[in-house]
Amino acid sequence: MPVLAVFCVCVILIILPLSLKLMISEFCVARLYYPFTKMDIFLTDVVNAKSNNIELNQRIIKLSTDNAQYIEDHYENIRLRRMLDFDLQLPFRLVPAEVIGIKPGLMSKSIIINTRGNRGIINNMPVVTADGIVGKTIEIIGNTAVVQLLVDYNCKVSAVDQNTRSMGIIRWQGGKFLEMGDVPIESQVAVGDTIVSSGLGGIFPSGLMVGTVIYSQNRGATLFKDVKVRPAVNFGSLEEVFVVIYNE
Amino acid sequence: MNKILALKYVIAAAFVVFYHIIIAPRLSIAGVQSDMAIVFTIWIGLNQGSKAGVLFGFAAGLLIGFFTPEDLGWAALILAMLGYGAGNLRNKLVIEPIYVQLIILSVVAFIYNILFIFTTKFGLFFANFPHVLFAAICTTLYCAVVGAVIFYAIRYRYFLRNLF
Repeated sequence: MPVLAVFCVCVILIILPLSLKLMISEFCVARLYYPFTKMDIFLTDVVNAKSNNIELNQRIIKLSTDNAQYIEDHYENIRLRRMLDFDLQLPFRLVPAEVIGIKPGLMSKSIIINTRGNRGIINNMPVVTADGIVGKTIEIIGNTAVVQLLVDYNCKVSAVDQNTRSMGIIRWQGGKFLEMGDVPIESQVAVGDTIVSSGLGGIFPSGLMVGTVIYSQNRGATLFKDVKVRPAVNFGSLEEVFVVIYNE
Repeated sequence: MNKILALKYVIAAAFVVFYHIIIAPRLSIAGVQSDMAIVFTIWIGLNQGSKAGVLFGFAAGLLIGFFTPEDLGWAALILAMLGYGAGNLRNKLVIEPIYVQLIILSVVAFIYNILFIFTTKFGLFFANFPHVLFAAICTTLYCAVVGAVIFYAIRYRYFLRNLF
């Protein structure tokens, strides 16, 4: 009996019009199978999550790299803009140069710059950035020049306190700071004063920023003050510099 | 038919739908999918008789038939017939060894695939018979493999239960 009933039901289902079959199927699939289809979608999402994760990680790495490059470009842009403004203010010609190497040493500290075809650069020319004095050229080799930094034992700059007009010689004696020597004991050099080049040395023009006084004390039985100056230039992060060429 | 047995059939039918929607597409090999409806229909037909085989085959065929509305009823009819046939074999063959059940399953799966394509895609059946035959053989082999796993799991379910 059940066999016959099943057979009859099957035959009825087979001969039903297609529209009715579609209606029945749609109803059953939408209502009866909803938990299963929901689970199917969930599992598909879980399976796809792994590949999506890999793809997103790759995109993150690429975007991070791009972002780092954009930040680098941004800071370069800021530096170059500052240098351009600086160039317009000065009475001499500035030749831009790129730092291409460092020559570290115990007593001597110098960098190598790319002169891009010399362009009138010779020895003993001041090298500056928008922040202040970097050093001076000491050797020209083809399209490059060696720059002796201010933080070199042999580099000395005649300087003046902008505030008190007290003069002295800036030199490096080791450590993080510059020393301003030969400052008379009676001078009023104080912490926070700005030190600029005096123009008396014959190499550096007057008014170029050297640094800021961070220590000023009278020494025991000498005629000179002990003055320490924080350099205006960060010598550890030089990328572009200018060679100062006096206008003819 | 007692209530526990009826509940088991309902669970088996739900598993057939679950397998058809979720597992089979993910375990398909080169487009070939196994059919849990045949496996369970044959198992029930062989172990519970023709009446249970017919009813379960009809229910399982109807449940998976909803996915192909244009062929609605054919899968139910064929599976009910095969369930009935499997139930009748129970009295004519020694079906205790699992390999006998697997042989029956393979033959029935092959017949089901051939019959289903013949009834629902009549034009394709004759136009591309070698392909249909190849597809039926592949599906049959896959069903036999899945059937072996299911049959052994059901046969040794108490042992498996004690194992865990």
